[in-house]
Amino acid sequence: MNWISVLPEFCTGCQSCEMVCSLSHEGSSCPCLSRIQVKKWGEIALYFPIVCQHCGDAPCITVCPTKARRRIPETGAVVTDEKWCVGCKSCIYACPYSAPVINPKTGKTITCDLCGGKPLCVEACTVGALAYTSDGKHSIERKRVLGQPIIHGLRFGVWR
Amino acid sequence: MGKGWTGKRLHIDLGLQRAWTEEISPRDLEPGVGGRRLNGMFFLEQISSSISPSSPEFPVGLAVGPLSGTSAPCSGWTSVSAFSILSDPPGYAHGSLPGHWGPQLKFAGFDQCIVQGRAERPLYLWIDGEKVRFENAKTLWGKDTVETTVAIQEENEDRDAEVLCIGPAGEKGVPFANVVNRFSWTGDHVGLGYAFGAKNLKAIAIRGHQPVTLDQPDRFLELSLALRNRIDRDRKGSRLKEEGTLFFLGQNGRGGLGIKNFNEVSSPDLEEKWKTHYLREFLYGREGCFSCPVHCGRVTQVDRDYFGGVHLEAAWSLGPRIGINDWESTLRLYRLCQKQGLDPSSAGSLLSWIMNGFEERVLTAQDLGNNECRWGDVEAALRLLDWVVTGEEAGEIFRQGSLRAAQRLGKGLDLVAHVKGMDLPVRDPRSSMEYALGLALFPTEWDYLISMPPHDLPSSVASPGDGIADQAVAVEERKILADLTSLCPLVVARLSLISASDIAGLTAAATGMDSDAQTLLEEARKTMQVEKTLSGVSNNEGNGWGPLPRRFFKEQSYAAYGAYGASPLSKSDFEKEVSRYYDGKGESLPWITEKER
Repeated sequence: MNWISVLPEFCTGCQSCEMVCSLSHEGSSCPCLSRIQVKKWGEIALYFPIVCQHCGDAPCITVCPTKARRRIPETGAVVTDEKWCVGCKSCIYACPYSAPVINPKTGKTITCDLCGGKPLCVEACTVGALAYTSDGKHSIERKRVLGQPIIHGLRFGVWR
Repeated sequence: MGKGWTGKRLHIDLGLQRAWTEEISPRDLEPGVGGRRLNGMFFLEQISSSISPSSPEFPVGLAVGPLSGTSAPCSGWTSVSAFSILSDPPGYAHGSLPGHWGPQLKFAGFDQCIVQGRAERPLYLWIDGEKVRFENAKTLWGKDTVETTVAIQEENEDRDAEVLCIGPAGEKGVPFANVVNRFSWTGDHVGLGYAFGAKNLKAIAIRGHQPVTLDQPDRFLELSLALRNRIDRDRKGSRLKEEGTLFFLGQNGRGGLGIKNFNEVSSPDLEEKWKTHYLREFLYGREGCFSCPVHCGRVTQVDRDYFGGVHLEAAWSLGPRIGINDWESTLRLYRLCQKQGLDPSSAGSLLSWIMNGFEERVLTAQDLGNNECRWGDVEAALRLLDWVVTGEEAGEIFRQGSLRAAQRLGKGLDLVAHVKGMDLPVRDPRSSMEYALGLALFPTEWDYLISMPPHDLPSSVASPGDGIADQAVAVEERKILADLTSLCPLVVARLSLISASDIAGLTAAATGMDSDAQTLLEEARKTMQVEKTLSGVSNNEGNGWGPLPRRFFKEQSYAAYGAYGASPLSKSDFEKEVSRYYDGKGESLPWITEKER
């Protein structure tokens, strides 16, 4: 199954992902309605998009008291069934990334649904900080990113 | 209120410590544009009030357009307007602020924020939706822009709040102090930092959770994604993404940037070497404004220090313009400006004038507080900038900027590179008549790509049949159009990656108003007229244009220049072009000669 992998080294904090997510799911624009959230440490120029990783053994599914959290078999996405969600926030506490977001309009949690298999946030990210990828590909991509400073150092004699 | 707008104006009186919300007249939003136009219309009413424009109580306007806070590409810009003491004579000025502050204003539920009055003691504003708190800034006063931003976010336990703040330079009344949003994005060339400081206003922090509703959300999403992809695939857009605003240096083989206060000019080789040095050794990553697919902001690494905000105008002004060719020194100066909240371009312009004056023995060491200041002397430059911020020693005179310091000392007036008191960008005016005319006709205009060679303009902007001045005006109109909708003026006007028709399509999908490219461009022209009126009213002078210093019309002053295919400006040709432009518009031209100035 594919999921949205995050390469924070490339994130510029532009929040484009939040805007298309919010508009496509809720019909209006606001970071507060986005299923992906960019967290910022601007003073050291670090930005980190947080989005549901659709864990294989998802703790949010386990802890959800109303069984509102469930996996969609076709895409592997772990989503909230709003009909059953009571807004208890258990999933937020259980998630290692605190990825679920409270929808201020309904008080219920919302998380990434992978846009049915064609995530728009990935399409909107023009710096490659987000990738719709599989386990194997993600592992290779991480190795490439982590190797870049070493290659730069070897080529130019400057470590960065 | 219609879709795409909030229809509300947040009005804040610092003196009374009162904030209230006003409905914006639907008539003001009718054409489907806001931002710069909203500010212009507001100030047009305000200018006839009893508050003197030069008073610290005079308002500052921050406004956004219908595309702000949406997925429209490059929609993170805010229009800022104020009475600027930078120009000579002082007058109404508009600036475009990149970054993330404007969209938060929209999410807080406002299209415009007006801050008027003067607080009795230092404070900062915390705006959370429609709730406004006036917070004591005693502990923040004296803090630099980085410390201030973090302190406000930490104090309010919200790292997503957008902070627009000043540094010590603004607090202490340096006219060319700027305002800084999210550490890197600066509002320069309006003297906004000075205006904040004069109001005892350290910062405006803002946070909102009100979604922006759109008339046709699906259509809007489709248009914005298609436009985003187109910009990303474009060759110039890609180069801007890869190299930031340094992208046009070197390779295109034109040169033409001023070195050592325009006594020398850059060659493409020199530019290429200078650019490559930065890209290889100091570039760490990229930063982007809100909803931007280009990400032209650069993140720089110096040892363990990471910071954004380095762009061509700032770096060249604090580099070759003052005879510094090593990036280590440039970045030391830049970091000082960034933290202190000084406009780096004006700081570089001031230093270049001081160094030029000292080298030519027009200024003495005594004038400089017993300080020698030769080309490339970074230690002397750092010392001088410290004095400029604190007002100590010679800083008391030099903090006024090069023109006013020269006037006060009665020395070096002919070495000042300015139009109407506004420091020139880094491109030498002699490199192109069109560029020179742009500077003269719109002296207070400024952006990160103002020094891009006009020859690089897409044909859709610079149509060959027009007069030279008309081409400069066409760029200006597009820049205003970008400001009216909160889009990036670089992408719209300088690179033409977003056309007027694209903007019309997005605006129509956002607001439901039936607007087309011609209507929007007509609104841009009207806004230009409104600002001309404001400029004339606020400084009692003509139609806003300003002459270039005489030195740029002299015979070829440096041998290397001819090698890059440019010849010195002909004064008669220049004046002919300006006259032709004003004749064509049926306006009389009040010539201001160098002698009269």
